[in-house]
Amino acid sequence: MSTKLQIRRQKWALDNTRNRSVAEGLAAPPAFSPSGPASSSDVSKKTDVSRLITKKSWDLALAPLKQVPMNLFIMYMAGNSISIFPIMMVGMLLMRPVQAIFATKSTFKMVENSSAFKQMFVYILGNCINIGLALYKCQSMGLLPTHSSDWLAFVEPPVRLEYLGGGVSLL
Amino acid sequence: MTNLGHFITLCATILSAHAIYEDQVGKFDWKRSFIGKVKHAQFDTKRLIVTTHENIIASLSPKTGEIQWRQLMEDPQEHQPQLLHLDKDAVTVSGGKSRFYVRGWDAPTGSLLWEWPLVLDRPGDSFWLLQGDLLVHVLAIKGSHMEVTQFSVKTGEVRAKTRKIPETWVSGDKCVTANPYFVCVFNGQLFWLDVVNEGGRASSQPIQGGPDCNLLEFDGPKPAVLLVRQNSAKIVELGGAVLPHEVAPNAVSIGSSVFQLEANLDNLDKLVRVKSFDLVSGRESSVEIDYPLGLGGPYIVSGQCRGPACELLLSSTDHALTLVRLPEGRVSWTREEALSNIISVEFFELPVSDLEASIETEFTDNDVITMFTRRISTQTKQLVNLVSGQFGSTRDDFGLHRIIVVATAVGKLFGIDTLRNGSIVWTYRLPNVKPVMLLVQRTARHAPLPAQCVLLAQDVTTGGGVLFAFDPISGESRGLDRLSYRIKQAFVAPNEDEEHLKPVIVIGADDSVRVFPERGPKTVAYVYTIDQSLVQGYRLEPDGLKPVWNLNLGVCDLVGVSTRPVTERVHSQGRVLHDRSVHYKYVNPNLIALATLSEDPVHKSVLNVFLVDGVTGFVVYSTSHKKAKGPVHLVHSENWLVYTFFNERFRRTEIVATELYEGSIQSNSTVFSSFAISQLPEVKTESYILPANPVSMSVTLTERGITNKFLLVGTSSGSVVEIPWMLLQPRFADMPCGPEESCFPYMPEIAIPPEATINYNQTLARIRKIAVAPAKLESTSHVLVHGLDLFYTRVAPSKTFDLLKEDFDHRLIVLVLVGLVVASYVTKYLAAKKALRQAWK
Amino acid sequence: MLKILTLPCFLFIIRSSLASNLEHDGWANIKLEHCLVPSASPVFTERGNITIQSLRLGQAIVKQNPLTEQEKNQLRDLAAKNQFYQIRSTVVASDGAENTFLSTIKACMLAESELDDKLSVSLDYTGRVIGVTLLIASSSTCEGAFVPLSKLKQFTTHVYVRHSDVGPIPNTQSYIEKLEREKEARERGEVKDNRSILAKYWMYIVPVVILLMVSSMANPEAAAGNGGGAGR
Repeated sequence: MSTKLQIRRQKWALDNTRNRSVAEGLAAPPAFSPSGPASSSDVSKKTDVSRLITKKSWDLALAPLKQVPMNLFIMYMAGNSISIFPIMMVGMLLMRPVQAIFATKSTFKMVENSSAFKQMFVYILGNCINIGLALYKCQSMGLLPTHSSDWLAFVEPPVRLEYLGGGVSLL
Repeated sequence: MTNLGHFITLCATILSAHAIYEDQVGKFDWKRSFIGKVKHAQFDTKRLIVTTHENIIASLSPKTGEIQWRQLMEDPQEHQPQLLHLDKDAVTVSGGKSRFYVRGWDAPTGSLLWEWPLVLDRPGDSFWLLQGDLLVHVLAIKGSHMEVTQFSVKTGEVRAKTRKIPETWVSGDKCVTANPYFVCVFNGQLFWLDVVNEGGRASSQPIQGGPDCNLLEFDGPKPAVLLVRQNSAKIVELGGAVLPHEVAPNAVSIGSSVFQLEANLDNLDKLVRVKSFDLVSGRESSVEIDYPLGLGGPYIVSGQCRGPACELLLSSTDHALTLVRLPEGRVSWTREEALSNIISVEFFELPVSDLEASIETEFTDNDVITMFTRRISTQTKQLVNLVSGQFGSTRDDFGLHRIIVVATAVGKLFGIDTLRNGSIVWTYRLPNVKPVMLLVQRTARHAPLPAQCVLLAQDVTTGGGVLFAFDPISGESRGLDRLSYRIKQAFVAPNEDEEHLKPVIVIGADDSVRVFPERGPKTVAYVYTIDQSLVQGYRLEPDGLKPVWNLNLGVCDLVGVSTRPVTERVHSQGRVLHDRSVHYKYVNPNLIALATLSEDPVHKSVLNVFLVDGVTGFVVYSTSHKKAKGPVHLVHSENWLVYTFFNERFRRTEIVATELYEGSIQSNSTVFSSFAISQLPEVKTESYILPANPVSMSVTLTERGITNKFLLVGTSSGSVVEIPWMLLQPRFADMPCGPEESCFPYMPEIAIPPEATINYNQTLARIRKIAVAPAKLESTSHVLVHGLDLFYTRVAPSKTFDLLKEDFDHRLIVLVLVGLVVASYVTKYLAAKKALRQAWK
Repeated sequence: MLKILTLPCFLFIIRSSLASNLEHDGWANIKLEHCLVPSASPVFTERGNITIQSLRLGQAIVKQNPLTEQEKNQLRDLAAKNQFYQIRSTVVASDGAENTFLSTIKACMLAESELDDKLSVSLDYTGRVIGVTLLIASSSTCEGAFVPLSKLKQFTTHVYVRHSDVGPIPNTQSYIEKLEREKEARERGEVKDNRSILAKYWMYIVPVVILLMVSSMANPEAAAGNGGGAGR
């Protein structure tokens, strides 16, 4: 196919140069301003991109907070029983924010604007809230060692100070 | 909240899991049966019928000595076999004082054919004679008369009315029977009277000899008795002459021959000689027998002869039963009947093997070459052991192979292997002592030092204390100490000396204190002794005993004392409640549980249970049950006490669990001192009905105390049942109880399912005690039930959570692993190949 | 009506049985002597007198003399040397029976508690004294302590009369009641539980429906949100 096209083009090659000069002389169509798109200056173009980046990065920073309702819903769904799926869910709830906090720097690498610090703070705060939620879930599932009974196995038996021997008289 | 169905399924799953499968029978348990010291024995063609001091009739195989059948009669404390006669059936008369039972037994099967009781209206010395189917009972009333009654042996019908024969020579203690005569020695004369045939008249014959001569039965061809003076005897034929032969008092006649034993000092390998002579021909013979070395002095119980070949049944002072074949003088079998009466039991771990010991010493040398040669030599040894399959008596990984050391009532010590069907590893006989208890001075954990154990005993003649130290693994003696005074109390002190030897502290009757070994470290300890109702506490100081406290329990019988097992470890210091808070246990190692029964005019008899701190004498808790009767059994472990008694009002056995708690805070978590009591312990109790008649009770012990506790209850029906402590543990009244809280809802009657019987269908006769010891494996405890029978098994209250299941498929898991490895390599290769091909495209 | 009648009856039985236990509820007089000099054969000197007027109620009158200077010194020495303080109590009961009991505590604990001690008088079920024990309320022990004389003035003794408990009996009555209650509840439950499937299991169905709705509506956004959350 392509070879055929090429052959055809070659047929029309001679006319091509003439046609181009005619095209230059044509008037612009109505409501067409040739300088139109060029009139939006270079400066305004730059601010637009930065605004976009700011907006995008704010989106990024607010994402963990936006996830809170979803997480709440997942927590409600998971229930308080201890079985494989709720544990997996709680594990994910806990792991993801922690991973996100550790990966904060790489996430915000491309974001270089004046409010980057603020965004990072909000981002970390949002993840912390998520961690808090996950911990609350663990607490309500009874997975946190907050009771004295959780440490009972580590209580050593007291050392006895007195030793007793004896029994019924053998006489 | 918790419904019954749930609970029952929970119960069923927990309890049924502890029963064993059919193919596991005899895998980790063994049973050995005993009959006790033999009193009478009669030979049959295929069997040997014996009655014993345990009031038992049994049939033994003359070839192997195995029990063919065994029948238990009444309590041997009050009833003893009086007569054994084997004709077609075996006839026994057993009883004591004024109550007798006459029974006929089918000799091949041991089934009871007939039985009738005889109750006398007045006590006296009873003598029995059996001729044909005529049973003659002679009641001798000392110095006055005798009453002769004839019964039909099968029915008990009186054949002839009781004859009162006034004879002054009836003395009772110096009378015997010599079919058909009743013979007495009195005032230097021998009197006899035919009691079977009526109308017989008393005859007499003067005998030479002082008043110290005695009579013994002699079952000769003609009616005769043995007249014993000091250490020699003469055979006196009634109505005939005194035979000229000087015989030993243990002479026995079989057919027309007289057999007797005497010491053989010429040959140290064969210490006993059988001498015999024929009464008719006068031919004498003598055979040396290779009598086993460890046994006590023998005497002939019975025998049978077929031509020149004779079989003699010997019993020894240590209750062993031996069958000797003549004329070879070979011992065909020996039964250690001393094991039917065990006083004390200890379990010992085996020492590490030489191999492991050599591995341990491997790095002591600095020289590279010697280290290398040692490594090579040990590994060669390991290889040789692996190939030859010999492991010997060495420790196994799980501590399941143990030596059980038992001290028996006759003063004989045994070392028994827990594996190999309870074979006896060693024996040691201590003549003339009455063992009291075994004390462990050093376990086998301190290699290369061997284990050491001390037997505390009492001299039979003087009553003085005896301390015998020995190696529990080999049974070798480490010295015998005979004390000149009686021992009041003895125990092992907790502090070891530099050789890891715990000293034994002996308190004499005069409160003097001695420490064995004497160079042992000085200890400060507290001692308590209980004398009737007086409980006295002492402090043991280097300069002697000082009384510190005393209690007076009043007029009562002490029926039970229990302290916590010394080796017990309490893993968990508290009980977790439903709200996940902790209720701390009051674990007082110095607590003594005492049970007394006292008479009461209103409530008949009252059971009192006291928990006393042995250091301060403080009565921590006391309770009383009205209208309670014994037997009382106490079990004390961790922070709880369980006791059983018979409730006379409701006529049932009750079991009560008492538990002590400190509360929600632990007053002192680092040290425990009895002097520091910040608050009174909180006591929880609960009572249950036990649908069994307990004769002994014990609790499982494990190495670290993590495993659940099981109560082992030996019942009078011969079973040992396990009851989970969780089932008895007192409930908190205001708290929920269900599977979630790992709590069984209260049920007033303890269910004993058949699966809970640890000895499955092997009935154990007259259970006396249950000894328990921890294995190295946390889940498992060793259990030895002793009484007339010996039964050993292992119990795992929380199942063997630390062991792979027996049916675990090792092969499958290896196959799967190998398959996975192979598959991963193959896929790796294939993937590499594919990647290469793709790269070339 | 019957139940109401039986209850007082039952109470009366309990009360009468208790009364017969301690029917000779009487007094007991305890003469206290103490030993302040350690020796092989201890010498006891008088410390005080305690009268328990009613064993059942456990009311006691404690009469104890203040310590003399010499006694204070001796007690201080005992405490400093970590020795033991021993008392001997001679109990004379109302029936004339006389019993002597020993009890020993650590002297330093007594001194540290500033002579605040507790005397436990244990009785058996008939109300007879079986033991008298001196105690110090403390959660820890001491190994000798030096206490100034100003703190050793007078014993402040509390007397506790400790009775024997009545042993528990198997509680068959409440168990049978519980069984009946459960049976009733089960019967009632069977009658009640014939609602429709929707009525019974609405709590499981509703979340599933909500989940389905949420996932179908907010699928694209949820995916985006997830990506943000993961920090990618």
